[in-house]
Amino acid sequence: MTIATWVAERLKEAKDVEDIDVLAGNVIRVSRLKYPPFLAGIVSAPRVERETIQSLVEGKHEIEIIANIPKDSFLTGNALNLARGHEIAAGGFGDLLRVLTRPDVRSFVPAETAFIERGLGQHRRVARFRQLHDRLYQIYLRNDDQSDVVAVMLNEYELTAEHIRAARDRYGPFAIVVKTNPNGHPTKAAFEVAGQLSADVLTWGEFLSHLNSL
Amino acid sequence: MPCSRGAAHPNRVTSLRLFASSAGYCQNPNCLDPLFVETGTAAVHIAEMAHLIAAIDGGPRTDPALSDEARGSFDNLILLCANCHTIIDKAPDDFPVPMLQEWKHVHRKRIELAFGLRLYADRAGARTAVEPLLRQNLHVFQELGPDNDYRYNPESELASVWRRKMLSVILPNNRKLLAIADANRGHLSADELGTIEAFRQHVDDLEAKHVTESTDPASRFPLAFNTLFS
Repeated sequence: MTIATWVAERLKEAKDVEDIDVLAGNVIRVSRLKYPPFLAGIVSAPRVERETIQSLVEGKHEIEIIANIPKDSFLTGNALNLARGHEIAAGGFGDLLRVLTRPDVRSFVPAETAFIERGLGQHRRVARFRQLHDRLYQIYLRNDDQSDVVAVMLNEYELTAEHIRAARDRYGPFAIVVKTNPNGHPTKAAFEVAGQLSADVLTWGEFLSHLNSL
Repeated sequence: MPCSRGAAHPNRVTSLRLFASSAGYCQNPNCLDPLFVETGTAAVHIAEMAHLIAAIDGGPRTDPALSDEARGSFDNLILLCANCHTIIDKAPDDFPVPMLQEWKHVHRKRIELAFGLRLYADRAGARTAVEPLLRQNLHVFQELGPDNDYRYNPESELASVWRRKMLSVILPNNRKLLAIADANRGHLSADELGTIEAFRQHVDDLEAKHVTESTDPASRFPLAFNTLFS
């Protein structure tokens, strides 16, 4: 069974779906009860690079969203930029379920990304920001130095030392770990490891306050 | 006041649990004095955490082989008024460890009876007692639990609603469920007895997380508990 077939079987169980057709090259057509059908490109990779999705994005099908299926995967900045440049949404399997009830699939942004970017965009000390990878942001500040800070946004409920180390392996150095999940707390070991990596661990509210002090 | 100031001093969670288990009364069944007293202008407590086996070698009911950790554990502590604590430690031979363990057991049974906990005639009876509590907890978890999509909004107010419901609904229900399960152990299979122990640890972990704000990871709810007594 291909990954596209697997996704099609799961999506057929959703109540807003009329039918799913698996087309060639890991593309599926999702026919919906309330809105027009759309095409989705399906990939399955722990790390999604530009090359991973290039053939889908630039292929003959007019796909509106790319969904990467593995749960703990990540989308690199290059992949996100490629998708964005072609006005194609990008996300995971859960996001594919979420767009079933949206009239405009192309403009979909995962909820957490949308909250983060709105918060940054509205902050008076933030001149601009850049999404380096799916969870890594470079934030340019309105100050005399025009300095910038790199922050990783982690949504874990119990943010552990292992999460911090895995983020460091995946994204490289960062100065701030922002816990975006409104529930839960970082563990004591998470704070210790972050300190060893010269990073602060902050809640979202603490992070926004911290930007004021930079 | 704790019995010992040394390494066998109970941690914050154990202290909390000890106070909770006393329901605010001396655990000597022949005393039962209230441990919190209003004097008119103040509220004072006369509770003392007494060790069953001495915190320090050579103390009352000593056992040098017992580790410091065990000495400070919940099972080795009893909450008494100042008088009873003084008496049992000044005459330890008249108050051996099995007697003090029985005091705690009897005290717990009194509290359970006060809550109307009962031994049911059969599994179906026990099931009728646990099912509404399980259903209520499940509803709160499904509507407000941390797996919901609001977790992607760092500013969601639902997080504080979840915390409130955890303290006001889920944790108290968990204690009732555990008490019903313990009171009706005779109706359970060996596997189900294991499930109760997993649930007991889950309850303990959740209380540590949400009451004392421990940052230790909490064990997940054992799904088999949903069908207890079914």
